[in-house]
Amino acid sequence: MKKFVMDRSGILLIFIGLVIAYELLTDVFGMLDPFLFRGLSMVIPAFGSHFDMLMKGLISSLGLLIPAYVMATFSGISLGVLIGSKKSLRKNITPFINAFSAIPAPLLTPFAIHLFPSFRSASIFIIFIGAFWPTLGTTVNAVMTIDKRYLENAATLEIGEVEKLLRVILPAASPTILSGCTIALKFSFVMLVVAEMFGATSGMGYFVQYYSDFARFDLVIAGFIFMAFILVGIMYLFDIMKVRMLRWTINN
Amino acid sequence: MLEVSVNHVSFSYDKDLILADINMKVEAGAFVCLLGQSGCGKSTFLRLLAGLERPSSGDILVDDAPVMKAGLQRGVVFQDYGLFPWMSAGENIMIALKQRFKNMSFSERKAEALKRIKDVELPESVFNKLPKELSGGMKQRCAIARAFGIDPPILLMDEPFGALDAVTRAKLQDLVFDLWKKETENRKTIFFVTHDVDEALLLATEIFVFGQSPSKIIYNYSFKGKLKSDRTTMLDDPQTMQLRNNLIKIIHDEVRTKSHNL
Repeated sequence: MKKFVMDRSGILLIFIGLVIAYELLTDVFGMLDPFLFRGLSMVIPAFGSHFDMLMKGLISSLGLLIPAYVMATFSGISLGVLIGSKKSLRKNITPFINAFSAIPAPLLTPFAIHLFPSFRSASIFIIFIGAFWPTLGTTVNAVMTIDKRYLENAATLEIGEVEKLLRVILPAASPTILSGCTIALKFSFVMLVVAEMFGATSGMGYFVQYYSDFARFDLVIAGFIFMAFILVGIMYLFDIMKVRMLRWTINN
Repeated sequence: MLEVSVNHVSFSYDKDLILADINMKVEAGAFVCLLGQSGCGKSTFLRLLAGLERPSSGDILVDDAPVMKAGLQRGVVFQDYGLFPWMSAGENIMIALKQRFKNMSFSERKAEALKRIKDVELPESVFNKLPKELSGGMKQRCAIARAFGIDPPILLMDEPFGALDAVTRAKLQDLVFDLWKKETENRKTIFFVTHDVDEALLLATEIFVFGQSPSKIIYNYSFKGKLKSDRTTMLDDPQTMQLRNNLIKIIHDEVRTKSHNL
């Protein structure tokens, strides 16, 4: 535990510095607009009074985030491997990937609400779209740029197609694929707020949006901080998994 | 026992002619060294033998069957070891064994991989190590263990010791030579690419010298029926030294002639 804290002493120091700076700019010197930037004297109690709601929001948000992200990762990687490994497919499909991935997912909200049977499924779709394109794009690129020597090595050993996919192509492409998955995870969080803007009755994004409408910026800031902590926690777990999977890379 | 014959093989990359009209016939069980300056097309020729490239014209036959694609019949040891970096040394050998011996169980494959690791004089602990945790020499030993493990009748080695220090190189030369020599029945045919004349003299039963690109075979020497000196007697043997000087002169003359023509 002591080593864990010591290894992260830099993070802790920066965090404490940010908290002190914010407190000085708000409660102490009032240099920021007090209507928008509520001091910690208001934000911390807001945490306490709305903690149950934040936790309920977390569970609700994860209910949207997890299925959307899992589907985006699975389909993005599967399609990416297929497109990345077939030159003709890549040549014909890449322009469409570029075109569709350029459409901001929030603009698809009305279409999603129209096309999907429930607000929940429409929300999942919006998050899915946010995570899908970065995963697909990086997977195509990762598979396309696999070191040719690995494939030749597999050919000389007559490794079958399925085993080649699972034991050669995916591991060889995994550093880039996992970078894409990290970007996709961050995008999913951004999309979560958009997705909870319609039809949701709870959720982390909903919480921020709801209290923003009532100008309760103490709760909005509490919501932001809560979301940031959750994202940092998830990214930490993701990084542990990534380090385990990429332990063979030189810089790990 | 597989005989290899190469008939009028040429190879172009884009529009550049790399190999021009290569012909050779190699008896089963020979240790063939392909000698020449760097960049002369020896490795390209080895890739053609491996089936990783197709000749632009001519054909390569193994026991009268044309080489169409890469496969277990022709094991390859690459200069950069060719190990999958995400697999442990043991897994690298086991995945090869799995392709070669389809009916072998997991535990049998593991036991065989451990045996092969010991055969190349590595400790058992190497089995669980990732390639990045091994030295260059250890990685190449693993690659050799894997290549001999799948027991291909033909083994293609592309400057396998080129990146190693002199002592490790000498040890691995002896290791490969001993592994090859101890197979009295069905001895492998080895094609060994090198630019080191001494390495060729030490290992080869037959030497083919490649000229500068577009490459042709400019000299061929066979030790068949002749007494071959080993590492300790090589320097004192006048015939070997004469051959050594001759090979060096041929290669230097070729480089000089081609660079004058540029």
